[in-house]
Amino acid sequence: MYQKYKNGEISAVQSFIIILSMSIGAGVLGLARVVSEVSQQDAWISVFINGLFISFIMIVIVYTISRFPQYNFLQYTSYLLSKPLGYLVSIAYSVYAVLVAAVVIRFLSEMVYTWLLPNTPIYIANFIIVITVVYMNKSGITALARFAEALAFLLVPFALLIFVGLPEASFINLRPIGGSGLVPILKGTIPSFFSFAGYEALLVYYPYVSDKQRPIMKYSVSALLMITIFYTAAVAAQIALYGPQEIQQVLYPSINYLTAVDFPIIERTEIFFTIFWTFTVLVTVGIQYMAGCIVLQNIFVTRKTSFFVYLLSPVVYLLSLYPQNTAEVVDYGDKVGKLNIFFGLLLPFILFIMYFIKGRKNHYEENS
Amino acid sequence: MKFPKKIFKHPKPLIKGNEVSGDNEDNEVYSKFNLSESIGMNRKHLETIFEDCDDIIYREVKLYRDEEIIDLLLIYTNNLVDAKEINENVIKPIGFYSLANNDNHMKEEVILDTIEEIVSVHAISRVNNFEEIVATILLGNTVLLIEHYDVALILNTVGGDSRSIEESPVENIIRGPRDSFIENIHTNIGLIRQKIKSPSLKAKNLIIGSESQTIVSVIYMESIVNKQALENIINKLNEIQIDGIFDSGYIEQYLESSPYSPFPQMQITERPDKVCGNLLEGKIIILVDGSPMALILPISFFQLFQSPEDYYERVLYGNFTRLLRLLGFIIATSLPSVYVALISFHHEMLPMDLVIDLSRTRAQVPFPPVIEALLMELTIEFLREASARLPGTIGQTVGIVGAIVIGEAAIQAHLASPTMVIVVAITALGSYILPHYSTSYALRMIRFPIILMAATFGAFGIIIAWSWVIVHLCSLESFGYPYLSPLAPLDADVTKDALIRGSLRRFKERPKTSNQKNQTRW
Repeated sequence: MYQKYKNGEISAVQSFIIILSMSIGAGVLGLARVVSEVSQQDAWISVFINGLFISFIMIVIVYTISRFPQYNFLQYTSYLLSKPLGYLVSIAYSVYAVLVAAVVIRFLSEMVYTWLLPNTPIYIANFIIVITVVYMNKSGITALARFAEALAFLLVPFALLIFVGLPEASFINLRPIGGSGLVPILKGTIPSFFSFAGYEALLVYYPYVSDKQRPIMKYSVSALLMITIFYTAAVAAQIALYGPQEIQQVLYPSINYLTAVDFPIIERTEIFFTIFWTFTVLVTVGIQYMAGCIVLQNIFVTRKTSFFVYLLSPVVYLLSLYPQNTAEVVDYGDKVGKLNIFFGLLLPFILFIMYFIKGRKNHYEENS
Repeated sequence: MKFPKKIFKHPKPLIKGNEVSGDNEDNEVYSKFNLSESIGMNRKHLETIFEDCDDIIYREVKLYRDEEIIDLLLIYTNNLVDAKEINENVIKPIGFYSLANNDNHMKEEVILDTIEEIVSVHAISRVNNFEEIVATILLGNTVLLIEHYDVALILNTVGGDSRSIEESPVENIIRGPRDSFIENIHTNIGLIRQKIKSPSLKAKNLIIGSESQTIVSVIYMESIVNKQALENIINKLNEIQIDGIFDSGYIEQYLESSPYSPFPQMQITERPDKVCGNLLEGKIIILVDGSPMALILPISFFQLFQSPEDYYERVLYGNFTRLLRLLGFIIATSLPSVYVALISFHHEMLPMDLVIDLSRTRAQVPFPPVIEALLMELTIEFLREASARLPGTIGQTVGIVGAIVIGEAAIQAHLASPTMVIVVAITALGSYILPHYSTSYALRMIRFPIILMAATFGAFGIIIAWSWVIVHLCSLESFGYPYLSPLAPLDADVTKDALIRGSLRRFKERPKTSNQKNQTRW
């Protein structure tokens, strides 16, 4: 333990927690609405199927990158895809990470604006969030991973709050199970795909895991399965409360859901939820931002990531101010989310295939 | 102590007298800073070094052996030595030897050896240069000079006045041993040795402070401690450049890597039992002569919530108090800020009846909640500081005045609302609950920024402020160990001895701070 993880390393458990807190983020708020727009009362089945599919992608990701334990993101992409493509993918990834960070920061400040501080201008909330994110990341990946780890315990009350409405829910709303048909259920996996976005950050973080002999495959997949169960249960509970028709009118079902119950001391449970959610999203933003900075560091080979952490902060701040209103934020969020199809779905498979075409042969040569 | 081994054998008494010996093959050793063979010269030299030091005593003794009369000179510092021991065990035996004067002794025996035999002091060593003699006199040893010998005997007669071992005034516990450290480092090491009777317990003494020449002892269990961390700490100690060390706090400030962090990176304690418990976990203890406070390092954040009593009491009680302390920590840091945020921004979060009551009492207070909170918090801080500095009897008066000022008059004068007074009082109690006093400084210091953030940004401000605190704790390290371990990075110790304490039977594996080779306790 003495001076372990000193050189910007994380532990296997921390990589598990990074995936966990990365995926539970902004997407959870509107998940039930967007999915049930497609697959009605069977939205939870869509979420579940999608979760299984993403767990499969995770297996592909970990399988591929575990063949290159010493390589960082830029190195193995340029090895597998040829050098120019590798650079292109890396630069695209850092741009994507910064965009996602900016959008999530804006989501967060919109939420803060709506629920906590209706009179404070957005740009001030954004500014404070960006400062926090920079402070979080300036000491490097090790401190960030510890931060995620310390706050992972907040996910427990967060998860419990999802289920407080159960006494009010009527499960008749979930019936007929499978009644919306197979095609809508499968189509419903597409919108739910975006709420899982973030797991692809393991592509960047894996090379920094110090104890790779631990079963990282198991950790990563079980992290995704946990999220899947959590999301499925949350969506099912919300549909059970609202009914498949009504839920489509609610912007953030996960929050409004909580107004259904009254606690003896706390009058407004949803503000409590927002507080926990803010912590979770701060971690999400931090990890995403750090991923972008790490890839940039790989490209420009600087000694510290903190240089890019400072350098990109005004960029992220300005980007997060770009949308004019909440509707535009949602719109931009969707657009940026589409990019996830490439990084979360296509890239892992391309790398996997290229590994079989190219990597394996060379790998044997290296060993012999 | 390096000088030619020759001396230990049989140095010939050269009756040459008043000159600094030299011009032979031992030239470089017998420099002018070494003892001469003339007792008068030596005395003169010492008297010039100790000019105007009237507490240095020169006592002449004579030893009669057969027909010889040998001049001896005892030199010691008046109040640092045990005068009784010098009388009984040094001067008296020499006198008796002279009186007895029988033929039992061997004629050939060197006088130095004879004296070593007859003087009944528990530790004797030999020295031949002035530098060491001066140092040893100032430590409370007695130096015995002998005519015709250029070697002095150092008799360990360290004594002097020190406090007797008493119950710790700072760290009270109800169940468990009562003894606590005192200002004498040797007594303190003895207290530790009494509890751990193992040759693996090492106490390495260093002298730090160019003028004060303070003994600083690094204590550790050789079989358990992490060698790399130990080496690092000893190196750091050797690099300290300072003229005087009067408390272990000096060492703390020289060793810590983040001096501007509000959180302490090592723990101070007065309790030998706490020190011993930590030694068995592979921690390193630093004792400083003249300070009853031992330093424990490296530590983790959660250790600040632990009291030895947690382990002496049964599991359930120990855990109960520990959770109570954690709650105290959260309340002490954030209760006023939560109150300010609720009143100024989020009153809709409170139940309706409570809001109506609160607004009724708040209506007469002219200040915004944040001013009210800061005023009352500052008053509490004044009270605390005043009662800590004043002598005991006046301290009580301050407490009463404070209670009336805060509790009654402020409400009567509508300067504060009753709820605010309750909040401040609970906060103060919460910060007193911690067993480690320096931690409460940390709480008090981070409380004010959190109040300000709460007053500006409400609950969001509290979230952000806490994020900063947690990020800071995550990046903080105590001598190479993560401050938040075993929570972040997470390991199995977390359920054993962090926030909760497991059964003692589960303590078989040592915490990760210790040497990885010696992982089990029994």
